Amino acid sequence: MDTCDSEVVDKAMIQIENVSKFYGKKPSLQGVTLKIEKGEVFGVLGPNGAGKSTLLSILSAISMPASGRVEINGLDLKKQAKLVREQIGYVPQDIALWEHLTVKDNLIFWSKFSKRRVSKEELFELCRTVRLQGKWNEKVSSLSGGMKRKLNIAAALIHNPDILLMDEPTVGIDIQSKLEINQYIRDLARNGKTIVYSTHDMSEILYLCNRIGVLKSGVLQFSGTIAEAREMVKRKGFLPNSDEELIYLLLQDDSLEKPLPYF
Amino acid sequence: MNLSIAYFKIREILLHPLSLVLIFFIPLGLTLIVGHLVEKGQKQLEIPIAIIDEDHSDFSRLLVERISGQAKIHLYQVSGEKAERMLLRNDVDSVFVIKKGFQKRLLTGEREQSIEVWISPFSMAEGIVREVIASETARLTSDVKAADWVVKVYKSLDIQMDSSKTWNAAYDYTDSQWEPEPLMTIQYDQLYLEESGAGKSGFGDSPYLRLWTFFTMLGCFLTSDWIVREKGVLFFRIQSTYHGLVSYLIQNTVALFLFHLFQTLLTFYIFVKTNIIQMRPELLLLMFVYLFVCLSFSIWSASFINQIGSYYIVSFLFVIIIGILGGSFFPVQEFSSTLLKLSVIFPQNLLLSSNQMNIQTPLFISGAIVLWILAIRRLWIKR
Ligand SMILES: Nc1ncnc2c1ncn2[C@@H]1O[C@H](COP(=O)(O)OP(=O)(O)OP(=O)(O)O)[C@@H](O)[C@H]1O
Ligand SMILES: [Mg+2]
Repeated sequence: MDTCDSEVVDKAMIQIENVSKFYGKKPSLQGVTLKIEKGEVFGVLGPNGAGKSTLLSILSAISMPASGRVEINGLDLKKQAKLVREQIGYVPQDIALWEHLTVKDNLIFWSKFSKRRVSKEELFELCRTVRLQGKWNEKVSSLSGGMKRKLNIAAALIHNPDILLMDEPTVGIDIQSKLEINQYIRDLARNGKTIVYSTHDMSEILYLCNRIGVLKSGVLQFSGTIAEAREMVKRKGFLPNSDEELIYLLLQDDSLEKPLPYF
Repeated sequence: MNLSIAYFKIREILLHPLSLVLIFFIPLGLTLIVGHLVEKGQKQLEIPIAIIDEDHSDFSRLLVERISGQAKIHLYQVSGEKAERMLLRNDVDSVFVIKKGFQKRLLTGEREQSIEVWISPFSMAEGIVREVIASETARLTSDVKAADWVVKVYKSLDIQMDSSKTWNAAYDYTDSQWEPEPLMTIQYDQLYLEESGAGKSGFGDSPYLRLWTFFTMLGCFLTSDWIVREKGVLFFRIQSTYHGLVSYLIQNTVALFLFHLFQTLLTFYIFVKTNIIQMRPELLLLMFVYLFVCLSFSIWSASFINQIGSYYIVSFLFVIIIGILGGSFFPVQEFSSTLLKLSVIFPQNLLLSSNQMNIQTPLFISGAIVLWILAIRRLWIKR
């Protein structure tokens, strides 16, 4: 498993320092500090409500942190939000498409939001990448849930951004397409794109991610490679038999004294 | 600014028949249809009466002419037999017979039994018509009496004159006292109308412009529904793009405004061509201002509501209530002075009452701009 093939880079592509975010009085992120390098696929893990989407929406300059500092490709997120936005492609957890428009028109419409001009040929190529070329002229409302997911991903890739922020992008996509999309994402990372990927899918984590971060109740409890995770777990006195069991242990509820057995 | 989002929105509206229906058919089509029905209904409110002229004199002809000139009376001049049949069939409310010798009797100062009334058990408005006819007859008798008296005075003072010329001059002078308002009428009516200026607006009782204000506001609300539909996920996602949400909101609204503007222009053209309103550029400008206010108002309302169903219900109620209070259906200001004072805050007032540029116009424009900014601020929350 090639989880450690990160390239040597000088400066972190994404730098998060002591970031907190509140909804009302309730914190959804607390003092998160993290570095993500160029060409890396960084997996964001954590149970429901842990703050994964909150973190990704901050990185995509949609919401601003209450405190702390975020730098993306050398740009300050607060002061240079507009420039940051042109460099990122955001795949939201919920599908963001105009249901009454066709696949083609959705891609064209999303392309209007970027600075870069994108030709129709490029859009069709993108459509082929997510295997939707046969649906080019169909209305989004007539697509299946998985197809919409694919288009949701494609929309984030339109302006060829350097950084991809993907919030559970492959939920509900069939195994075959999911593998293809995972392969595609890995190729993108190999070609120098930086990817932050939130998922609940064990095999995706293991296949895609060079490094992972584990969030629980808004606190980043671990960040590092799978190998580093294994070391940490070992120090706590556990010896997982497989990578799957390792991930399972990482996400285990800390309030339990002894982890539940893994099957 | 890159305008391709607006261009795309315009294309989208053009390609979707439903949006065209909302923008063009609701304000213009429904205004014309409902306006036509209302006008027809108003015609039916006229009281039908039959009149039989047995005298065939100058005075009787003048009387018939003046009664048929009354707005609320529809007059059939028929023979006796026909009139009886019409009354029996309820085609007319009542029948008035100008008896032979009507003119002669008036000239000799007699008024009794010069006109006969036939009524049926179903006659309802006969009393009103009787008043109208009595007033017209009184006009004739007082003219005659005045002329007789002038000639008599001249004679008693031994003034040399052509007595028939003097009589005619006195008659004409007295008659002219009845114009423009009948003598012996107190001007207590239409006080509010005069104050609010509706009487001077130049489109009289036409229901069309009133209805247009209602349907245009409705159209604006219905075409602002995209905000409610898209404000969740789509607006959130749009905030992660280079051009961003504010640009999207502005361009979409501008595109929508252009369509409504075209609708207004078309309405103005049709209204002028059909003589509903006068060809006044100022009026067109006021219609544009009204439209701008409606659109800002609907966008602002849409920024508060998250459910599309509730949005439709709320906007429908809103538009109807504002329509009633603002005078889209009838001049409510005439009912109470409170409503009259209140009416200045409704945008309909721009067109229906003042009907000319005044201090209200810039106030409404700035109010609309403020609503606009508030709406954008609400939708573009720094999460
Ligand atoms: N708009 C909001 N208003 C109030 N609280 C919110 C809002 N969005 C998120 N939260 C809260 O913030 C916390 C983190 O939510 P977030 O969506 O980031 O979780 P998540 O890790 O993405 O969960 P999931 O795996 O279910 O997607 C949760 O406790 C949630 O209740
Ligand atoms: Mg989430």
